[in-house]
Amino acid sequence: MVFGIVPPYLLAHIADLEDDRFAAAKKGARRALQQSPPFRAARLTFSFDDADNLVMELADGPNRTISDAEQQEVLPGVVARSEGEEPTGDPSTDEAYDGLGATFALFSEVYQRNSIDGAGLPLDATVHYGELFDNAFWNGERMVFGDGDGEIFGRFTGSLSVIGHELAHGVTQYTAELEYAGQSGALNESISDVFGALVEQHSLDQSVDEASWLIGEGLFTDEVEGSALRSLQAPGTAYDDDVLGKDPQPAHFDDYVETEDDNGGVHINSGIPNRAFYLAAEALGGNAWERAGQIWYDTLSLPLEPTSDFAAFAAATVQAASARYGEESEEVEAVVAGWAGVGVTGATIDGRATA
Amino acid sequence: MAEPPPERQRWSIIVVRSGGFAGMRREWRANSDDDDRIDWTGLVEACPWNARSPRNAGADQFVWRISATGPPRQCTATLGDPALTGPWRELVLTVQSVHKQNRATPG
Repeated sequence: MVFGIVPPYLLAHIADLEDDRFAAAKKGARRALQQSPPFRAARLTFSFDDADNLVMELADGPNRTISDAEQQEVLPGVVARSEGEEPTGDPSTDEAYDGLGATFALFSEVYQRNSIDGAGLPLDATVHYGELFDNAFWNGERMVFGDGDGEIFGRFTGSLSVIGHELAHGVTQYTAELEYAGQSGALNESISDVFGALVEQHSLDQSVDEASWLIGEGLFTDEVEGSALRSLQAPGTAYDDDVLGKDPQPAHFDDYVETEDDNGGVHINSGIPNRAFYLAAEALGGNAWERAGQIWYDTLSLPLEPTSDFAAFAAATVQAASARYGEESEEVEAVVAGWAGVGVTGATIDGRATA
Repeated sequence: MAEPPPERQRWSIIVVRSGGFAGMRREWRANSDDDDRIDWTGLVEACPWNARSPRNAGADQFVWRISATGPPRQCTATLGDPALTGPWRELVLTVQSVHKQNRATPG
């Protein structure tokens, strides 16, 4: 059971406890306090062991700061809510705060990764960026969210998958460093969509079958014919609107889009690896963040080239699945079949040869 | 001494915005003839077409492709969203505004 974030004064108190029953908590508190500056937050868990002793455990916690750009295009803006503070009542600020918390929780609790850099990097976000600003982005250091124009898009903090997507760009920046252009750029985008979807599923405790697999659900106003911006399950079907046109994502490598726009169509061609992930997750069933998500997460730490193409990344996911679950495992089979389902094949993928 | 007025040149300008989280492409167009009260040559020449714009940092930022054709001159540039400032911003805002007026006027 998670009871929230431990403030520094309580950590200090726990660190000074003389009771042997709290030895582990004391050690954890001392460790947390030594990590300064800046002070790292921690997560406190209470439970009872077999002998009915109260056990307190400390785990990593997020260190969030949400700033308000007050409709200017100037970063970072004015601090609106810091770690541990009560809700402000401003939906954008509070959604960003909660969304970063949910994203931190997935990476910390499921993959044992402490924040974006694995070392407790503070999570900084800015809301109310620009006037009628139709975007959310990661600028290399912080997550930035616009309010939307009110006609096509509402505020970009309105979807947890968007917040997870942006934070995941930070994780990719600190791990695989995939170059943001062409196929490696589409992979970078896809990794953010995958973990954006998984944050939402983990937060709502949804299985593969229960999940929407949509990115940006609820961002569109009621004027738009569409449920979301992208679908991992069925790329190309998220929206179909008179004004916006149709979701242009391909679901198969045969339909890869060559374009000069958008760094070579990174938000379009991401549909291909997105569906490969969905197919692998669907084959494995249960909670997608557990096995399929673990394999994709492990892949980020393999020595990938920054310019890796789909085939190289696919081979790395097979390698990651083999390393964790064994070469003959159903996980490897599901991953290979996932890539085959979107037309990404090759000796290093389905032949299971070492790359 | 006042300089003689610049020779009137006709321009056709296209602004394409791509990328962003949504990955939706948008395009705006304007011609000199749409509004001859605007100093199009001045707007175009104020932009540093030959300067290399740094790539966008991070991810999901808008990418702007701007092209201005005024025979025999042809200028194109690709900019990241943070680089869309000063004369670039002025040119883009003008094209967007004229484009919007054109679409609002029937015929």
